[in-house]
Amino acid sequence: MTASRFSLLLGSILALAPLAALADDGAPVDSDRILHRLPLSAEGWTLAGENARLDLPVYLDAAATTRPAELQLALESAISVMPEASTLVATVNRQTIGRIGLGNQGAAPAAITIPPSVLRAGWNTLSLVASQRHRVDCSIDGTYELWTRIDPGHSGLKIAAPVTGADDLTAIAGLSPADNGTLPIRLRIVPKSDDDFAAGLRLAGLAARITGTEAPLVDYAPEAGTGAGLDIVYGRSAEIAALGLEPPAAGGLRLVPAHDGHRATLIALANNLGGVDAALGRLEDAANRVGPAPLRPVVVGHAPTSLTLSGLGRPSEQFSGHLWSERLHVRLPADTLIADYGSVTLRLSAGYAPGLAADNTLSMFVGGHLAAAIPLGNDSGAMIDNRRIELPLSAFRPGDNEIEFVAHTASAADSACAPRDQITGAARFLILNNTAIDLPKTARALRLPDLGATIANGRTAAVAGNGVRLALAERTAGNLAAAATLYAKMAVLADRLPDLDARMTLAGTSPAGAIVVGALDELPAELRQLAGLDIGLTRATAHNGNGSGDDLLTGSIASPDSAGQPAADPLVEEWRSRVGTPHNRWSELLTLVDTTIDEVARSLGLASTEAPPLPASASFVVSQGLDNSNEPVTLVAATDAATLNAGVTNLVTPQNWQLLAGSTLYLDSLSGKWQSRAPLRQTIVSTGPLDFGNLRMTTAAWFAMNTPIYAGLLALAGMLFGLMTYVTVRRHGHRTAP
Amino acid sequence: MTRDRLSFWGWVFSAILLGAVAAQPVGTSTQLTTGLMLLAVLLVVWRCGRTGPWRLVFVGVAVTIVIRYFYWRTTSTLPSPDSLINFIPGLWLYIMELFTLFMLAISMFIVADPIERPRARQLSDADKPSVDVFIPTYNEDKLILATTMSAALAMDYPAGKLKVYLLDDGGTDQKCNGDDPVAALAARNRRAELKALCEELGAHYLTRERNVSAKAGNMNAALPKTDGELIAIFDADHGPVREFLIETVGHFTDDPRLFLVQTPHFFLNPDPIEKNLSTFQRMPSENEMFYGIIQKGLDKWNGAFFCGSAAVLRRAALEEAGGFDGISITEDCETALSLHARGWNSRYVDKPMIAGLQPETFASFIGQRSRWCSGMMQILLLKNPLFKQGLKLPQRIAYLSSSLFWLFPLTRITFIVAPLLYIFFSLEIYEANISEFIAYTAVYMAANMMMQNYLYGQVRWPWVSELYEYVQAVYLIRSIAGVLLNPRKPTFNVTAKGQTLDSKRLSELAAPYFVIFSILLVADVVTAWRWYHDPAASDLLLVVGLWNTLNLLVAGLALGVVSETVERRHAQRLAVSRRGAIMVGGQIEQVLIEDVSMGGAKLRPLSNRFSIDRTTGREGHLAIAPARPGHPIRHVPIILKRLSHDSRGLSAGIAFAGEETEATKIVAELMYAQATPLDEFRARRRKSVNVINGSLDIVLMSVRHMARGMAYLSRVGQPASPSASAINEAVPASPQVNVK
Repeated sequence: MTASRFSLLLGSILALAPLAALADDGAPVDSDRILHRLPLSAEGWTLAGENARLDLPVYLDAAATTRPAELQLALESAISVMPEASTLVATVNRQTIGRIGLGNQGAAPAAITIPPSVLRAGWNTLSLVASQRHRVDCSIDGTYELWTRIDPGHSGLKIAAPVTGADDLTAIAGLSPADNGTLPIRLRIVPKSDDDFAAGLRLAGLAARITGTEAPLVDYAPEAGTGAGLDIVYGRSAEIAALGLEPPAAGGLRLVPAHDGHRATLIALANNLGGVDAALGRLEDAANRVGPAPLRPVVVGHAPTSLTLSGLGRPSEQFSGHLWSERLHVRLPADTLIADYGSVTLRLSAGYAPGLAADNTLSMFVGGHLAAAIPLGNDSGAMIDNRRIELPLSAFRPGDNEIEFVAHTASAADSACAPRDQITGAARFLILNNTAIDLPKTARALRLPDLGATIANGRTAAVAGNGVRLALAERTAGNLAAAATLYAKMAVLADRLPDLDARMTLAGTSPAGAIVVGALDELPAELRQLAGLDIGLTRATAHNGNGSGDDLLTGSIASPDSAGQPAADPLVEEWRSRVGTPHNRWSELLTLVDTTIDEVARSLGLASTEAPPLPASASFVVSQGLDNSNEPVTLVAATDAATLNAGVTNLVTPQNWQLLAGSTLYLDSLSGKWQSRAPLRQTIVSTGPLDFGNLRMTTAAWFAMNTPIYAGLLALAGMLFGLMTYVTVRRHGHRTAP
Repeated sequence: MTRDRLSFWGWVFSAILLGAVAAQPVGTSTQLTTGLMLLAVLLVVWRCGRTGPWRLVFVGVAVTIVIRYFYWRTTSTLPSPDSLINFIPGLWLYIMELFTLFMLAISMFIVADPIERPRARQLSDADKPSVDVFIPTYNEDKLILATTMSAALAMDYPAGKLKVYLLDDGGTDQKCNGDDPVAALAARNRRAELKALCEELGAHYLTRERNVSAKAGNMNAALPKTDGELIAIFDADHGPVREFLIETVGHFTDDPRLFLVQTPHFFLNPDPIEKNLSTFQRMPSENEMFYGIIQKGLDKWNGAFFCGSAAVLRRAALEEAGGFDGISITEDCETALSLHARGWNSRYVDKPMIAGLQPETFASFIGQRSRWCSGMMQILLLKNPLFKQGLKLPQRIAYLSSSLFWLFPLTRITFIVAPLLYIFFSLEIYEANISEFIAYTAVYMAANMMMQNYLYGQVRWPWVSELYEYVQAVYLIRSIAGVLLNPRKPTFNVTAKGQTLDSKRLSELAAPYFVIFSILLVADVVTAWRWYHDPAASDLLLVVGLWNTLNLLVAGLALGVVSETVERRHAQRLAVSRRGAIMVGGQIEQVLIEDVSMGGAKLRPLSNRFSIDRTTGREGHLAIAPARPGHPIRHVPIILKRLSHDSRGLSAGIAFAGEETEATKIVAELMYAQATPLDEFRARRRKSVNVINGSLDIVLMSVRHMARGMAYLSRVGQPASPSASAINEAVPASPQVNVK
C-alpha cells in the first residue's frame, strides 16, 4: 500500500468512525430491544466547546412508538470537562427527556427512558445539548479543550424490534445506520447494460432518500450484506433466483426484512423497462409517505427572505461561559449567483453582561470564514436591539451554508477560574430568538466552474432539469461503486429523485454536463486538461508510480497552504500577541483604512488571484472545467481505483461534502485534509429563462465581478448624460445652440 | 426628425441608460471602488474646463454619484417600520434628504445653461421711451432718499423722458391724521420735508390716502398718477449709476412682450454675517450666487423674476395685470409670477448698476429674511407655481425652486438634530455600517462639495451656504410655521438699514445659538466618551460624531455671527477713482478721489504731499473733474478731517460741508457716475477657494469665532463701553465723515 492510500484510508476511518474499534458489525441486541443507531450529520459525533448542540432525525413507525424505548448514549468526555458544571440535555421533539452529567461518565453507556408520549410515528427529532466547563482553565483557549464524543456504534434509540410487513416499503426509513452513522447500500447484481446501471442507481438513490441518510455508501457485490444497511437486488428473474432469492410478483418490487444477521433486501424485477419504472413508482410512493427527514437546512428561494432564530427552532438563550457558539444552516438555491451585489443582513438582538473584557467580540462566520464581527466591549454591558450587521453575499455559496455565531465573553476575573463561578456563574451573554437573517433577492444563474453550485447540490449540468449525467472512465467495480455512491448522495440532496443518464463507458458519450468517474490513467488526456488535472495528478501518478512511498519525500513538496503565501511564523505570532494592544481604538481605525484600501485593490483586480498549482500529494480529486458549450465537465478521479472508492466514501460524509467548492477539491495525502481551489476564471451560465428582474440581478452580479468595467460604464453613462443635457438645453428655453 | 427633437430623445435615452446602470445593486466594495473612480473622473473633467460641454459633463458624472447614493439610501438604509421610534425620525430624515435631492435636481435644471445677455440695443433719444422712476419709501432717512433721488435724476436719459417719483408711505393721509398726535406730527413733518427735498432736487413727491398693501399698494397708487412707458424701481437706499437706463431700456425695444429687465443688487456695506466674521472684503457676498448664476439660469428659461428694486418694468404689462400683486409680502416675485403667467417675458442683465445697503444688525437681517421666507411660503401656498395657469413647465420649475428654497430651515434643523438622536438616545435612524458610509455617504458628500465648488466656487465658498442656512433656520422655522398656520397673516415689515452699533455686544437673538452650540458640544464629548467606552457602537459613532462635529463647526461660526462688532459708520464708502483739486486757505492741490461716502471722501495728493494747510478742521472746497467730457465741473465745500499715511503714501479724509442736498448731488456724481467701480469690487471678491482650503479656513474661523462668541457671552451683564447704547438708529443731523 502506498503512503498516500494508507493515509487516505486512515483519514476515512478516522473521519467516519471515531470510535469504530469499539463497535461490532451487527446492531447490538439487548434481550428484546434493538439499538436503532443515530445517523451521521454534518456536526459529526463530537460535542465541542462550552455549548454544543446535535440535532438528529430518527424515523419510527407507529408500532414502535407504543413500545418502551430509551435513549442510549455511549459518551466519552475530555479529562478537562468539569463534572460539577457540565451536563448534556436530551430532548425529543423539543421535549426534554433527561439530563446526563458529563465529565465523569463511566464505561457503560448512559440510558434515558423516553416517555411514550414523546415519540411520534414518522420522523422524530432528537436533540443533544451539551454545556461543558473546564476544570481549571477559564480562558478562551481552555474552551477548545472541552469535548464529549458520542460513540455512534453504541448510541441510539433502544427500542423493541419493529414488526413490519415485507411489502411495507416505508420500513426502509426505519433502517438503522451502520455503527459510524452511514447507511451502507449494496447492489448485488453488477449491471450489464447502461439501462440496468441507471436503474440500479435510481433504486439505490430512492432508497437512500427514504432513509433520510446524509451519508449513503453504495457498493457492488453479489454476496449478501451483513449488519446495518440495505441490499438491493435488481435484475431479471433468473439473476434474482441465482442469488437464492424469490423474484417479486406483483409490482416487481419486494422488501425482505433483515433476518439472521443479514440486511433487509429490496428486490426489484427488471424484465423490461416498464418494470423498473413501476418499481421506482412504488418506491417513490413510499418515499412520499415517509416524507423528508426533518432538520434539513432551511431552503430559501431567490426572493428576499427573512429567517428568525425562533423560526429556525432556536430558543432565546442565556450563556454563562466564555465562548458561545451557535450554528445555523441555510440552503440557497443551487443556481444562486454569488457575487458582491447584495448582502445578507443579520438583525441582531442580544445582550451582554457588565464587567466583561473590552476585547470581546461577536463574530459571524459563513462557511468557516469570518464575515463580520462586532465588539462586545462596553464595560457596563449592553442590550443590542435589532442591530443591523451586513454579511457580504460573496461570503455565501449556492446550496447549504453554515452560519456560525461565536461570542467571546471573557472577563478579567476568569484568570482566577473559581470553581463556584464555573458551576453557578451568572449569565454573560444573551441571544434572543427574534434575531433575524434577511436574505436579499438573488440572481438565478451559475458561476462555473463551481463544484459547490453543481455537484454539492445534486446537479451535474448547468440546468437542473437536465438531470444527473454519470459516466465511468472504465467499467470496473470500483468505478461503479464510486459512481453509485455519488448518485445516491446527490439523490438525497435533491428535492426529488434526479433524472439519471448513466453510462458505464466513455465511448460515444459526451462529457458535457456529466460527472466522469475513474482512475486518473483511465481518463482521456483532453478531459484531464479540460478539468485542469493535467499537471498535478500526472505528477502524482508519476510520483506514485515510482513506488517511492517515502513520506518524507512526499512531504517535501510544497503544500497548497504554503503555496503563494508564506505561513505565519508561530514564534512571531506569539510575540505579536504578547506585545499587541488588544483593545486599541486607533489600531481599529488603521485596520479600517487598511481594509478599505484592500477592498478597492481587490475590486480593481490588483490583488493576487493566482491559484496555487495542484500539489503532487493530491491523491483524490474532484475537478470541474467548462467545455465549449459552457457545460460543466466534472472529473472524480484518483490515482487508482481503490483510492477512488475510498475517496468517494470519504467525500460523501456530510462534513466533507460541504467542502465541495471552487473548481477543484482534493484530498492531500500528506495532511489528510481536503483542500479546495478557486477557479482562475468563471463564466456566468444561465439556468433558465431570463426575465427582466433576473437579467438585472445577473447584470449586477457581473458588474460586481468586473468592478473597473462597471465604474467605467457608469462614468461613461454619466458623461453621456451630461453631454446630451448640454446639447439639449442649448436648444430649449433661450436658445444658445447655433 | 428635427435636431431639437433628436437631441431631446437622445437625452431621454441617456437618462434611461444612466438610470439603468446606476441602479445596479452592486455591493459595498464595488461601490467604493466605483465611487472613487467617479471622483477621479470628476477631477479630470474639472481640469479640462468649467465651461461649455465640460460643465455639464462634470454635472453628469456628479449626478451619477448622487443617483448611486440615493438608490442605496432608498433600498438599504431605512429603519424597519417595526420599530416606530427609529422609523419615524428615520423616515423624516430620508424625506428631508429626498427634498434636498429634489432641490438639487431643479437647481441643476435651472443653472444648466446660464446665459449672458448681450448689451442692450442703444436707442436714439427720439426712440427712447419715457421712464418713470419709482422710489418707494416708508421710514427711510432723508439723506439716503436724497442720495438715491440725486443718483436717479443724474441718470443718462433725455430730459423730459425721465421723471423721478418719491412714493412716500410715511407721509400718507392716514399717518398724518393718525390718532397718535406725536406720530401724526412726525408724519406731517416728514411729508413737508420730503416734498421740499423733491422740489429742490427736481423730483416729484407722491403719497396716498391710506397705507394698504404695503409696497405693492404704494406703487399701485402711483400708477394712475404717472404716465411713463417704463417704470424703473429703486429701493430707497438703492442709488442707480448713470448708465442704468442706457443698459436696460433697449431690451424693451427688442421684445414687445418684455415686462421686466432685472439687474443685480449690489451692496456697499457687509451684511451682519460678513461684518461680524470680517469676510466682506475677501469673500463673495451671499447674494452673488443668486445674481451671478441663478438669475442667469432663470433667464435662460424666461424665469428671471422681479427682485423689488434695480429693475425696469413695462407699464402696459402692469396695467394689464391690474398693477403690482400684493397678496403676499414679497410683491416683487409675486408680480413677476403673474406677468409670466400672462405670457410676458423677462430678462436679466448681470451688471451691477445700483449700490444699496444691507441690514447692519443680525436682528434686522433675520427680520429681512423672515419676510422673504414668509412671502415665498405665501406664494407657495396661495399662488403655487405648479398650478398657476399660463406658466410654461420651465417657469413652473423656476418659481418652484425659488419658493421651495425657503424650506431649507426644515432640512437644516433636521440635519442638526439627526446625529443627536443617535448620540444621546441611540436611535438608529439611518441603517448603515461604516463601510457603507464610506462607500456611499462619504463619496456622495465629496461629490456634492466638488459639484458646489465647481459650479459656484467663484461666488460661494465652501460651507458658507451651510452657515447662512443655519443662522437663518433657527428663526425662519417659525416664519414657515406661521405661514402654514395662517397664510394671509404675515405683514410687510420694512427692513431697518443704516443702523449703527456703538459697542461690541451679543445680538438680542443670540441665545438659541449658544444653546444649540452647547448641545452640539456636549454631543461631541459624549460621542468621544462613547466611542472609547462602547466598542459596539464605535463604527456608527465615528460617522455620527464626524457629522455632529461638522454641525458644531458651523454652530461655532454662528457664535461669531451673533457677536456683533462695532459699526459706527452709517454712511458706506465706495472705492472710486476721480481726479479733483482741493483748495484750503487759498492753496490748491491736485488730488485723486479714492473713495466716497455720503459723508465724505478720501483724497490722495498726486504729488504725494500736501502743500495746503494741513490743520484738521480747516474749511475749503473740492472741485471734481467731470465723469464724462461735456459734463460740468462740480464744487463742494469741505472740512479737512484727518491726514494719514498708508502703504501708498499720504492721504486726507474730508467731510462734505454746506447744504445737505448739494452734498448728496456730489455723492451721486462720485458714487454713481459709473458702474465700473461696482463691477470691479464685485470681481475682486470673486475668487474661487477649493474645497480643502475652504474647509480649513472654515475650521480656523470657527475656532476663532467660538472663542470670540464665548468672550462676548462672558461680558453679558457688564456695562458696555464706551457707550451704553446698543443700537442707535442712524438719523444723522449732519453729514458725518468716516475715514479709515
